[in-house]
Amino acid sequence: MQQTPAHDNVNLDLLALIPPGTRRVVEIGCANGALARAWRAKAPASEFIGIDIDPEYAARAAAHCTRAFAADIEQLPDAEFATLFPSDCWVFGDCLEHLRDPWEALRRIRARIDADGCVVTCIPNAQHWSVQWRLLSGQFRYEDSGLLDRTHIRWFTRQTMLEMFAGTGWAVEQGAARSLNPPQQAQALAAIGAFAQAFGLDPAQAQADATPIQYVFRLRPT
Amino acid sequence: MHQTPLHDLVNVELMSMIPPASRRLVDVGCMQGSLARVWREQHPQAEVIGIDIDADYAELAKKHCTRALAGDIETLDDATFGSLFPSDCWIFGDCMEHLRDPWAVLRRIRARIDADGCVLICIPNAQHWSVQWRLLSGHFRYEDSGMLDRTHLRWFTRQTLLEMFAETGWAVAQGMTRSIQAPQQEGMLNALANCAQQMGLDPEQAKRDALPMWYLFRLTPA
Repeated sequence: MQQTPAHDNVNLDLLALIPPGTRRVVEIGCANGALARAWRAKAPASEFIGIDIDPEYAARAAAHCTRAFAADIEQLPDAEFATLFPSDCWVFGDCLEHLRDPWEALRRIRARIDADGCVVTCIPNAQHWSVQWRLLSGQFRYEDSGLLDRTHIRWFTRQTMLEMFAGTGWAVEQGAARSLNPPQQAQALAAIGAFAQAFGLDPAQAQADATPIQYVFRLRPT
Repeated sequence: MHQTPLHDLVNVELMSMIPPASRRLVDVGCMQGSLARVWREQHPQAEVIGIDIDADYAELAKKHCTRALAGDIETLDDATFGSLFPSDCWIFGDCMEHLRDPWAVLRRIRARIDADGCVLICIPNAQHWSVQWRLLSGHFRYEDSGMLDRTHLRWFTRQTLLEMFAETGWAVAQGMTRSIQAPQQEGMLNALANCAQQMGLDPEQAKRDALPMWYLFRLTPA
């Protein structure tokens, strides 16, 4: 299966979460290295290791990283994984949802990251109203990119993201929601609010949780 | 990650779809071979090949299958895959949703199966009201088994199942649904219908598609 098409857009919200003074960044799913390029323009002294499962992407990223290689982070042997440390900022930009076992990846990094290190991540919101609409209508169709990217194999909501972080030894230091506001959103959220109310759920919470398309977080070891 | 815990339940509805004169069955995700045991008691002439990704399960299945092997159906080399043919009935009982690329698997079987062969599938319905409720509430929590089994990587609705079959060269010869009646069901379905109506969808269709917990299909080459 082909990976998500590579693009050169930099996720500025994610970039902003990388702490100034970071010594060595490891980005999983670096695609063409757009984030590496943007980060190193700001912090030329910082090292940047880019890893992508797609060898063509990794080859292109090499131009912007201090080291780039192709690998599946979930299959990386211990010796090779160890070469990624010491490091103090791991970046998963729209990547954790592509892993079979993101819980294990977070635990494995937690065990080796520098004490003052962090994980910076952007994750799509499975509770977004458009995903709920697709289930309600049956049109839950995998696509080449977007929320229903066919290489997405894990689905998280705000609640289950927070549970995953707490369960794998991480605390949220900073978090933000990224939202769009397309014309159908108000009507869909009204319906979701009514649906929630019918079940004794808090309609305002259900609507708030259905609005973001992605969440970004900076996590610190607990 | 551990596979779904072993159980000895035979999926009677799925077994009722096996053509009685099948010569050679291939059961993907055979666990300890319960289906092979029951089928071969009734049809001692039939061969049953069992495959499971878990080597311990495959070892147990040897007792009941004419041949059992441990392997990931998605990464079997051509020689091993070729050894599963000729065959005329492939069975995926609660298995297809565990694959990364079920589309490719269906195409690969379609290219080699006997002209009079079939594929039998039992697959959870991602549109089931309980899954929609979990998204609405944010409690979309992976579990050890059931609808949100953590080894489920793919989510299908009636609509997207039919699309997958058509795209991969299969026609539906028979289909049925399995449901479990729960006390909160009626209220949930009515609330879903209201939500569908507010979103401009057909409320009756939304109710019908949210009712089955599983779909069962017998597919024949198109």
